[in-house]
Amino acid sequence: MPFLQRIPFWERHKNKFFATPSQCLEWWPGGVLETAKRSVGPRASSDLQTSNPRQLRLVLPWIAATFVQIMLNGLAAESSSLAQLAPLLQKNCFECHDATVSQGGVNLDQTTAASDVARDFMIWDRAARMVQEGKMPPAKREPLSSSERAQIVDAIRTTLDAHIAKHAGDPGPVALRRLTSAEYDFAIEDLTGLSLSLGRTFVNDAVGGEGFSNVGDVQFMEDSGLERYLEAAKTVADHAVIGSGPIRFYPDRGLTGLELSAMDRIQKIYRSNGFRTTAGEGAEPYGLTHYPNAFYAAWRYLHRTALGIGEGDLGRLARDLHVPGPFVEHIWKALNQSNPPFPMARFIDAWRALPAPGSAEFQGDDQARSGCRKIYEELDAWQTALARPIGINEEAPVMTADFIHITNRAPVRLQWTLGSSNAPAMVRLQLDSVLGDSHGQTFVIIRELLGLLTPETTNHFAFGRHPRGETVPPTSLVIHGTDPIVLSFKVPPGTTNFSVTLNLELDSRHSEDRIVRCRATIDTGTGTVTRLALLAPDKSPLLAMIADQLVAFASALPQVSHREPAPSDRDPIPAPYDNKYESPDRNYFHYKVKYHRDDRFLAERILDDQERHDLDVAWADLLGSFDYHDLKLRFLKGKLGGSKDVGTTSDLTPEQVAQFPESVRSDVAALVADRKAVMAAHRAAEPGHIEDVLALAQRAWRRPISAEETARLRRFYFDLRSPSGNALNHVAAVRALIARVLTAPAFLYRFEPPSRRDEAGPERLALSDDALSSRLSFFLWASIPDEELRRAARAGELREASGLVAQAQRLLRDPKARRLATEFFGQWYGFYGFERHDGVDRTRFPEFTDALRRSLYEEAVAFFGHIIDGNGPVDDILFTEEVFLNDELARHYGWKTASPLGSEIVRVRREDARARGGLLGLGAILTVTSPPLRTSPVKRGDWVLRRVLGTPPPPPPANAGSIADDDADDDGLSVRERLAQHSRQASCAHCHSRFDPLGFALEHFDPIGRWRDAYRDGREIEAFGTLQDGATIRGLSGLEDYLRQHRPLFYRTLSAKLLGYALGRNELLSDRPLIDALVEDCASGGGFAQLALRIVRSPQFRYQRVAVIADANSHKP
Amino acid sequence: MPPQSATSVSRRRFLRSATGAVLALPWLESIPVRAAETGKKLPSQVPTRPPVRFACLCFADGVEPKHWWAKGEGAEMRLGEALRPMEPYRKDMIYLGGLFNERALEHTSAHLGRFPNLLSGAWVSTAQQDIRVGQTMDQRLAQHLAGNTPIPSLVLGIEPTELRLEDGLTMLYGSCISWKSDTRPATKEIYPARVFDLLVGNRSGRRLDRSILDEVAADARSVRREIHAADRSKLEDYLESIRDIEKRIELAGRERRIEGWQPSVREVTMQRPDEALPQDVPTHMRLMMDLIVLAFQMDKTRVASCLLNNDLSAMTFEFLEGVRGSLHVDLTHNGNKPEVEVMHMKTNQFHVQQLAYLCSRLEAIDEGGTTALDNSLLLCCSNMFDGDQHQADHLPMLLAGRGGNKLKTGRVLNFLDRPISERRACNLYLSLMDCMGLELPRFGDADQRLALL
Repeated sequence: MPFLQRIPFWERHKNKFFATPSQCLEWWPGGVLETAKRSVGPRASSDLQTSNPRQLRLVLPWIAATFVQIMLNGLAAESSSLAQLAPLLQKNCFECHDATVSQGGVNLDQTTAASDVARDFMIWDRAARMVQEGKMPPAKREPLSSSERAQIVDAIRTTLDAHIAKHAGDPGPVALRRLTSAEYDFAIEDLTGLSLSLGRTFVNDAVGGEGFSNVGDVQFMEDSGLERYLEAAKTVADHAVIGSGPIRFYPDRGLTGLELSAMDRIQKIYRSNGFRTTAGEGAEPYGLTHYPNAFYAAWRYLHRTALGIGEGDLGRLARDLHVPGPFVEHIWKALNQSNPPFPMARFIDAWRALPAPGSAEFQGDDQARSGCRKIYEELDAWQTALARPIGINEEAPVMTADFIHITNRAPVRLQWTLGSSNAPAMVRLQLDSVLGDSHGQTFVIIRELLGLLTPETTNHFAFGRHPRGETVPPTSLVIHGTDPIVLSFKVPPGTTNFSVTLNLELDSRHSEDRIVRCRATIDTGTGTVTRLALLAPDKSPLLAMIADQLVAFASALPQVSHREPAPSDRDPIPAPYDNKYESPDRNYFHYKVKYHRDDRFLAERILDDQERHDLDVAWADLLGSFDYHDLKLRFLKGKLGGSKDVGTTSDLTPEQVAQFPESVRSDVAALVADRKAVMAAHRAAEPGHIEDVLALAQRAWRRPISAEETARLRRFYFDLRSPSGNALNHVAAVRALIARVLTAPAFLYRFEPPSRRDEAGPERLALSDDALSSRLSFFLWASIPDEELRRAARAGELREASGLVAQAQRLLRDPKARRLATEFFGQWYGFYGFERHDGVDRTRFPEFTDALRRSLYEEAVAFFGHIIDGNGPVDDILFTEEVFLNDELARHYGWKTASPLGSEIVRVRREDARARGGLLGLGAILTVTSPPLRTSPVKRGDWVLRRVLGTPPPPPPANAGSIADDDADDDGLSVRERLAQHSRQASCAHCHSRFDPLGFALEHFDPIGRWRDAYRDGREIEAFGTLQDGATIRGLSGLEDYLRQHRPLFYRTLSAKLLGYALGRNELLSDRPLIDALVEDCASGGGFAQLALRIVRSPQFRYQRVAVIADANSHKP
Repeated sequence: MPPQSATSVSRRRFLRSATGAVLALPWLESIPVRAAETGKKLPSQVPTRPPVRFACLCFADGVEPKHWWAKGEGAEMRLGEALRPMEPYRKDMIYLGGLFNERALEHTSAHLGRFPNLLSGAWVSTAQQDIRVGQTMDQRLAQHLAGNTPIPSLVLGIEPTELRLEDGLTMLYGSCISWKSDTRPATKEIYPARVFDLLVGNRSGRRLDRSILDEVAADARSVRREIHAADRSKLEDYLESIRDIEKRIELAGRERRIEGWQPSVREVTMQRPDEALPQDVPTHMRLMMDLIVLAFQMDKTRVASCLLNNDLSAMTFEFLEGVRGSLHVDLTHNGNKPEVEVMHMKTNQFHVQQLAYLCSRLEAIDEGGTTALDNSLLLCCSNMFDGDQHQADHLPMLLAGRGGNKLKTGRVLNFLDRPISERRACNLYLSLMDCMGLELPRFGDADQRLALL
């Protein structure tokens, strides 16, 4: 007969021994496929498997043959008790099951070749159980006597137990691991602080072992795959900031990275310290908050004797009040100077006038504090008034000596938030003479005021008339004298942010020569806003008299400082540029020169030494990141009408500099000097960069680097630079050195070189401190150790259980432990990469947008993040009452929430009848277990058995067939009916009765995880199913009950998977005591951290096998 | 107890012996690798003849059986609906029916046991910690031809490796159709831009890269002494990878080829594809086909494979009119619903269209009186026939191109009624390798050439 004629394989053999293919597969020995292998310990009982004796009878012979083979092969090798068993097996089992049967079981060739009882322990274990339960031999065969039965069971158990006793804690074979792409990205992130996501493009991950990508067996360095690592390493190196300071990393690459990193650092220093001298469009004051506290600190120091403060305690006072020490010192000096300049004396007087502690007027510290605040407000008002507003009103004024400016006109702009929108805005206005004859007359005209006021106020004042009888425009009001007046402004309905500008003008004709202060105050309800205008007659001799004092005042105090303190976007631009908008000068400055440093006050009076150094480094980086000096020189030369292209700052001799006209000579000289300093700073930093890369190598390679390696790395750098080598410049050579460090096997592979031999026994070695610290961090962080962990490792702390546990606990508390949400839970439960899931038909489900997909993914990540860092029991994975939602998910799931949740995922308790919560309610899970158009109870049921309970059904027979793809088909059948039709065949029914009911329980959740009450065709959802034993599972709550009953399986699966993830290998027989203990932890309410800690403490985790035993399973020739 | 039949016993013995042969494979190594010799001899023998190129397009999960057939010869040939895109190339193609891989058929994992071995006929290891299939014929060819072209072979794909286990086995098996060795899949490239750079970018020189690689190779060699023996093979991969890159750099820099033949086109008109993965499948596949053509045209490589979808693929085909659902779950397993069967057929048609497109591009390239298609061997196949039944006792296979006039095309070859020994897919592979100048006594489970070819 022709041997093969389109006859499916199973058909050809099915009549030999088994009724149906599925029954055969049901009893698939565990070795190959994941079959029911969690049913190992005493805890796992027969609930997994069929108890249908009819089918068993048909199947048993086959499996018996398998284990007979194993036993006979394994006897000599493993155990004398099994050796004694051989005749018994031979007599009772072997007769039926000779080699021919193995045609049905492809595994037989491998299993029979095994000489290691542990290798097939899953089969052994099951065989013992079957014999013990009387399911073996089959009923039609001669039964075993009870003593024979006991003998077989005992022999197997004894053998397995003996193996466990002998090998418990065996570290097992762990193949050399390469970083997974996720680990690569995390490691780069931890090394550089940058999320570059380079690993994603490697596309070389695969899943092995217990189902994770961190298993060495499935990790290859393919063909030219290292090229991708080289490219990635070069990309990382390109992000290195190589300037005049230590190497750091920045999101932008190359010189752009250097420039932006420098800006970033400068900005940070400015921001955290407050003061900077210049301003720009849209500026906001910042940093002024230091003043009141500085005055207060100085006040306390002034009364130090009374307050019991020591002579040298000014710095401490500053620290306590969170004010920079140098600034307080500066204020202290300013307040104690002799001959203070105008108007400084006013503030000094006010400060000294604050009631002293112990005096009659003293009412406590708060009095002094609020007094200091008032002084500050006055000072602020003065500074603002003195500075000339630039351009349009919105721009913040700048006060430098150059810009101090008092004229007879000043617009005063007031802006504040109204308490209630319809009340009139009240401004109190008061004139005051601050310099000059205080008894003379003063007239101030407020122009264009009439239309702005409420009718009452309008009627109260005489508009368009001068007290001296002259006429003024009808919209103007003239005020004089020192009595305050109150102006009520109309507020348009609905206005909350109110602003008004008072156009003040000193009437020079009728006023004496004096400086007049016009003070406008608004009570905002929460405080007062004060604006001053300083007015003086045109060409007032007084102004010339006090000009020097005003300059001294301006430079003695920090300038009014404004807006996001970037070193660029100067407004106004500095001299000698033409400051007019759109002038060529201005454009040249903004597009070419870009920066101008004027943070002298900050550097000298506020920063401490370290910060000043950092600021100088940042500026050297900034100005060294492009040809700043030459561009500016070009401008200066152009300014003189000469050619712009003559020479550069690097080749200008002092003689040439001296030949520049005096107007720019000092600028040119400063430029030349600064360039020299910047270049010198960069050069001086070069040796440090090499050291930095050496330090980086230690972190990246997760171990100290030897003197020889250090020498090699240095030599590589110098070879790259040498003219006979690659002739690279310093920056390129350092980048190449970084790339070389990150392409090295020491970074890409997780070497665990053998280390200390200790009391652990002849078969195992303790991992070295470095290797153990790496295991720990890769287990809990999916990345390299941090500084603290390396320190602990170097100090030998990890050798003690307490030290190891302390570090593990620290790692678990760190947010980086949340990476396990994707790396462990995501891979095991199947939502890994869900943010890119494209298995939904979006023409049918247009609701499944990219944004929704991201939210569903983040829900799952947040949920497991909470499992990891919350303290709840692992039961929470299945049965928690808390859900993680944002508005989008709440909408998607049809939940009404008491208040909007926003776009961030937050934790809320479930309170809805359509309950969801825990793993089974996660939209991402419900979606990945559904085909594009419909739900699949089969897929979902299989997922529960496989991923939750660890008792996967056998693979379907090749010719299992299938049901139609759509739940809204026109054949008039529901999914249930179609499935029922399909399962009518005995070959299918058996397995389907195991998983269909579990899947049907979730039918109320549609293919994208929403709740539904009916199918698309209007049919009612029937979310229930009946198991083989007759029990019915109804809905999610029914499924939860079912899972509660089978919790030990869930615990065992979770434990074994976590161990497999931690170790990067398959479960071994010798792991059983550890897994039992983990299950015990789960059962007694332990949380994720407890499991992780137990694994970390286990010998499996802390040791390695002395010699890796060649795998008996492999087909080595 | 069921009776033992003599057949089954002998069958088992047969299997055992086959197992030994296939799994051991030491003889493969012992066959002299003649690349260098042939390379030296070739110029004098065939100085200017274009080389033969081989490309394999593979799609997963089988075909819709009713629509996959061909009858008749040459211009008279009639094609099933699924093959319709090949109408214009009937005279250039050979329909192959009835070939199969016995070891795949025997495997209990209906999917993974029948996928990665399509081009090798090898057994798929069922031990989780032992990744092992068998070197595939394209990679055997690449090994043979190494040194003749800058790139040994192009191994392309559309979908990345799926990160999960299937039946307890790694989905690596379901994602790799080309295996560089028995234990290592070849690097599959799914980014068109990277393939383009590999072909077109100036890969010569690269002094700095080589300096870095020299250093890290020294690292690897020094660490080799300090690690477990079992880990050394992993590290060997790393060193191998470095050698591979260095070889490519070296070959890219070499101007003159060992044979006298010069590729006709050196100017590249194709635009560099976008950096990111193409968003839609037709664009992605079209780019990959174009890149295969480009590689052949520039003689950058002579061996290419492209995996159009992974085993158990969830690929969707909304771009085909009326086709909805995902390839494996919905379309392959279509519940025998006629309208869904048509959808599945359309996906087959779409895959065959890639072959037809490749034919059309290669046919348009003149190579001194012959076309590039005349000088190519294009194999389009899947790992199952009726995908719904996981039917692996015969496979859908189409061959196009004349292999440098070594094949008589325009034929339908059906082996279904032939003895097993004549039905092995590996027979075909032996014949194809012959056309490429690699004459092996046996490959996989075959020791004879394909009859009739």
